[in-house]
Amino acid sequence: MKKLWALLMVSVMLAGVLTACGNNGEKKKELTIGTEATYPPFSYRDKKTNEVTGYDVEVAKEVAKRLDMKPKVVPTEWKNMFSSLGKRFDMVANQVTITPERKKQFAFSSPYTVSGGKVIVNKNNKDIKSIKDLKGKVVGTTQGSNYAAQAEKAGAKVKYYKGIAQVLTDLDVNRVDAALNDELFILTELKNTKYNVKPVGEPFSENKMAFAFKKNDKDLAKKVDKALADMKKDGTLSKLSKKYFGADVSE
Amino acid sequence: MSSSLQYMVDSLPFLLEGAKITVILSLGSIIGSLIFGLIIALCRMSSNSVLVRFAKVYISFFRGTPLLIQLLILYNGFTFAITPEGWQAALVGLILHFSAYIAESYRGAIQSIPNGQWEAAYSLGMNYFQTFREVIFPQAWRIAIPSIWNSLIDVAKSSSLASVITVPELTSIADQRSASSLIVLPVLLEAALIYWGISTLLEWGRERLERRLRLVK
Repeated sequence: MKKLWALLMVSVMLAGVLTACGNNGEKKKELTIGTEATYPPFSYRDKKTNEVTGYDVEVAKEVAKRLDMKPKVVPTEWKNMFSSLGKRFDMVANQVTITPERKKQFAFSSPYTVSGGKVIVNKNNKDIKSIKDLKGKVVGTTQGSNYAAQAEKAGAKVKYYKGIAQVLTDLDVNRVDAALNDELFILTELKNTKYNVKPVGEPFSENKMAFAFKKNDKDLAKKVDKALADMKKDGTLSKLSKKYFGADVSE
Repeated sequence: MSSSLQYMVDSLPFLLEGAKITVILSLGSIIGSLIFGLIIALCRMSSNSVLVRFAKVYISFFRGTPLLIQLLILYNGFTFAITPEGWQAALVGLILHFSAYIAESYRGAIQSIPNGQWEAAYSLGMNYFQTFREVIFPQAWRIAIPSIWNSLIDVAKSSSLASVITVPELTSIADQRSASSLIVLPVLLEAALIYWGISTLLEWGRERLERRLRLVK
């Protein structure tokens, strides 16, 4: 019995200590980067090292280096991304498309990716050839993504998923009729998978992707812009872009 | 198929890293809810009507709402004042949630001790606290073990919900790695097997403990 009480006491103390050492401020300036880590080739975990990497992550890390800050990646589900922006991290690096609605809520850097959205369907699908054919069809997308808005506009029934992997898994077995995603994703990742899906039609939109910041964080956005401009000038950005896509997609 | 197998092998060390977080988070939550659950149980059985009402509402709320909602509220709900880290919100959420269940397990066990024992202890001049500590609790916690242990295994499995609030535990590592490679099923199965291993260990621990306490005839 005595032992049990001792154990209880010790664990109470332990719990106290644990909660006490929550936050201790760091002197070195950190640039915290919110990203999904579930969206190859933009943001994913390396097969061998498990480090979060990808085109967006590498661009963000390079930016941090040029601002003389220490980059820190914070893997976050998309649904928590914007609610955590400015609280748990300083910027989002996750192929965030600049849209008028988002411009009202957030500050953006200049774009570092220019790409298009494309429709993806099951290989056996014969009747969907472009975004116009999506009326009344079931489209799988990520909650709160730009593609969710596009699908709604096209008159589709939208089904929400955590990320692109879950959408493709369902498209593969015809639980949804179509998905919308970035052309770059389709060109690089999709063709290496065993999913029974194919892209159709021409890109239906031109998307400009940029880093997102809290609305009143203009200061950081400006600094990041400057670093991005330098990276464009000295070829670092196009080098990173070629590494992931075999072409310069930053313009 | 071979590439999937290769990827499963490559993923194992990282999934085990995640499992470590799962185990630590679970243990912390278990210890926390064993203590906090007892406090709630004592409030529930006290003679003070305010405490009783508080405990009733507490148990009703935390058993009557989904853990996922509770975690999301803790993680996103108070950011105007305090922005908890994912693991902090997860630890607090799991403790709050499972304390409600464990409190009821304690209460059932404590109330199963015959009233005569309280009376006998009082007649020896013991007060409430002494009686509880020396006579009632030593018997009650043994009786409470089977149902509390069920909650403990539940804690380990429910900790997977912490993946939604950025805790890098087993489920979130499995999730991120399966999405990163778009090799989904093998990695998720691998994670499931690791959970199964953890639950099996806990189950084995319960059997041993019960044998030692000679509850298993």
